[in-house]
Amino acid sequence: MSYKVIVAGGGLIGTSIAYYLAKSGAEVTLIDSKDIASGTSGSCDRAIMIQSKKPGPTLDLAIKSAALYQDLEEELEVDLEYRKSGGMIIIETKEELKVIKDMVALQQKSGVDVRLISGDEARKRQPGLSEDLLASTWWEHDAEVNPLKVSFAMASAARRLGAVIKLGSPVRNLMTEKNRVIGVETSEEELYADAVVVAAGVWTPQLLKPLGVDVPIIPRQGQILVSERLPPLLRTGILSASYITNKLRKGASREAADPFGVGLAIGQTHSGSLLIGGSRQFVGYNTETNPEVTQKIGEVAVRAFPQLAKVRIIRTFTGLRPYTADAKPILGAVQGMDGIYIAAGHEGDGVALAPITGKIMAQIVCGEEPEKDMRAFSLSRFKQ
Amino acid sequence: MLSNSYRLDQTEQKTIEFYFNHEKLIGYDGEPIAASLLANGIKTIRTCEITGENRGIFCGIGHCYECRAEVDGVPNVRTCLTPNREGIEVFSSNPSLNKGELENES
Amino acid sequence: MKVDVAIIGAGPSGLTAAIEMIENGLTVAVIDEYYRPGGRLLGQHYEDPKAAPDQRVWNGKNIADQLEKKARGLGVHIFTNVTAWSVSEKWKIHLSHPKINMIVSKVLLLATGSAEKALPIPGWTLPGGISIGAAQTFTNLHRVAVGEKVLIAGIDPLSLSVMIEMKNAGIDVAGMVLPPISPASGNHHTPVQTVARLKDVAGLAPNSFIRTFGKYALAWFPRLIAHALRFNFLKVNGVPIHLRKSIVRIEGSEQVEAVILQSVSADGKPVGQAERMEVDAVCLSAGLYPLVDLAETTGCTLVDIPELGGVIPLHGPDMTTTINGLFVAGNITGIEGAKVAIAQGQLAAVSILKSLGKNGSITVQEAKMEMEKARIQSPLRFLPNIDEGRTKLNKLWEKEGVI
Repeated sequence: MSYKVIVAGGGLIGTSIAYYLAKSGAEVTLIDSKDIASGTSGSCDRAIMIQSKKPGPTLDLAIKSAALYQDLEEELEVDLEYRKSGGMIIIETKEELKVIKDMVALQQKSGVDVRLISGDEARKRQPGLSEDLLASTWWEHDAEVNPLKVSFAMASAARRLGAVIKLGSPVRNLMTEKNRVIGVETSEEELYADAVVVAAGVWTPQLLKPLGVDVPIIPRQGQILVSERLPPLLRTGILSASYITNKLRKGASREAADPFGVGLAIGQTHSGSLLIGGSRQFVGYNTETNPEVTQKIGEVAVRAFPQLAKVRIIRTFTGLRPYTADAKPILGAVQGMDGIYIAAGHEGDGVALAPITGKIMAQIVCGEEPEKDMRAFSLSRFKQ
Repeated sequence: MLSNSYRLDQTEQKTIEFYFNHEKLIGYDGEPIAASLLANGIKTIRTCEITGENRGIFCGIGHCYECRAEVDGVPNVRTCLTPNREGIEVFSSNPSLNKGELENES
Repeated sequence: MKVDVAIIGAGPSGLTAAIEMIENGLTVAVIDEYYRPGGRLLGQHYEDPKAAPDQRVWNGKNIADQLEKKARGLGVHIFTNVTAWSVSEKWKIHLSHPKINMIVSKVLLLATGSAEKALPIPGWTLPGGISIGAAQTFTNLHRVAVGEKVLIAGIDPLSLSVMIEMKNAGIDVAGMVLPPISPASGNHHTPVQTVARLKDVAGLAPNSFIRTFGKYALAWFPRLIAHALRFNFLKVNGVPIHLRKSIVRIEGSEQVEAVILQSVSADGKPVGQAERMEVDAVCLSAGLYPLVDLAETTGCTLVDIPELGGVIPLHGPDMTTTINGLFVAGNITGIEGAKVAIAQGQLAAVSILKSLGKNGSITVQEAKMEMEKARIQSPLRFLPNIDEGRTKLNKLWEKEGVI
């Protein structure tokens, strides 16, 4: 009899895990309270930015993930709008330059050959960038993808491999017997399994709380503006250095200066709309947009690309990033409770890390040795 | 004074010259661009970006965005609520923010 | 910019409210997306049989011009061609203005009016397919013909008056027909139902056709239906009103060239062959709905009252909403005519004045009575069951709205 696994959560992470598990021969059931990519994965940007990752275990994972992305379209036989467009982190102030210089040095040490380039070179690589731009980083291996397409393609591929997908069925309870999880109870039925992987992003803590397991993931709201359709404008993925510094910022210490944590992250969809992010705010599970944030993001975008002043914004939306205090996801088994695994807390790295997360989680759940030491991502790291 | 078959009457309003897709036309100063175009018998203002089908005025109050055009270099201007002025240039084509060719863009 | 009151919408209610408030000591800014103030007044031009003999002609544009002139003269800040794209905390109004991107006010009055419902039939996006409201504006305000030979789809009070207006302007109106009768549009457009709805314009209406109908309607309504339906069409001002034909689709390669019409039975079943009629413009009339987008961003309670035209902000008889400092007036409160909108603007203004500890030119009670009077005197009723809708609204307000 084959190994039965339930994956709770149909976002980028959950669908990727379901796919790699099904590929390994497990009998997979993927469940989601709403739909594929209906939460965070459906309200994020499209960057597979490697150079923005914190040097260390996360960057190592991101590099492995990027390698998987290269072949994913062929493997899944779907156009994922994947494009290896390269990426830039644009630098506007001397303070930012200092921070980014240090980061680039660390990245080069980790084997990522990111370069620091002059403002002029940046403007040559990406016409339209402001004359005021001080400098930028450049890495040719950064890429972009459509996260909705990835989620749906992963889910379809899993289904082709025999996975069962149940949508619109919220998990009410994780069923346990002694110290072992034996399945889940949804709004409609009880599903039994040998293992349960919780990949529910910001909603993960609620699922595990009844078992006495504390998962320190906090929703961090991000707002994105959508522009009218434009001719191809962006040649490359672009983040602003302030986006990175906001991301690395912990807690409320610097929130007074910019309560909205606004920094630029800009991409262009295949239909021509710009996706212009973003903000970082701790506002609970609130997904309302805030016009002041909309305005701030607009200002930051126009500062980087003056010609955007003429462009209309047609709508704006928010998503909830699953934040953890050390900016690393939680990936692995839950100690003290057999049969249950967590794969959540990627904050803004979910797009970049989805393939490798699925692959490694499949290895862990199937009892194989994961291809990378995953201790840095264990839930138990927070107990120390 | 304008004599155009689509004008319902003659008035003493100030006339202006403007351009639609390089063609010189006459309209009244301050009337919406869409009204000047219609007065010149022009119903097709743009084509749909997806299907290529012709589009023109629909709601007339800025709500439907069907009558948009590039006006003096600004894309997607709603011509039904933008007053016409001497010498302005209106284009139905999609404007190009970035006039340069893209290397890898399909 | 800081003002006491920000008003979104420079139509009849917004401008009237602005004048009343500035005359009584408040500072006021009015924001409108259109290039000139006036709102739906700008397109209106008809005869009002209920008015005093010297006020029979309702020239909306002149009234709009007078209101604008007065408001500006008194120092109201009027922003046109500016979109208020969101409002936040009491009250920051976010504008798409090159210089002033925010107005801060103590009170917000939403007078955003209404937009037209779509009538999506095959071919409706072809140039020459135009909404009835746009046809009205181009005919009466811009004085440009929407086509050389025009068909109107949708037979209702608004489309009937626009037909007369176009006809008076010398445009060849080839006829009026019913919208498509299909499961999608529900069963509301059968000939019998259309005529039933027209009964309510009876006697109130601005033109001879509806007045003729009205005479029938008041006394012998069942006979009217029989009459209108037995004859396949009636002619008004020389324009055939096809009460038993519905539009199927619009045809044309580059723009509108023809329409396909289908005869139907009294209950809306197709009868006989479809026919083709060559026209170069089609005006589509499906009714108006209140524009509540901005209201939604304030977080006020919205209620769906079909008798009033759809979703509206829950509001009390004095135009207050469920949010302190947020008031409404005009078509956002339900689809009615300009006279009602003007009276509602006045009422909202005196309510606002009262809430800020000031007196208006009349009391709130008097303004309420003026509004009732305007409702009775309105020449045109857009929705047949508006009174029922208002009663429903008042009940909801008593139950949930009072804060």
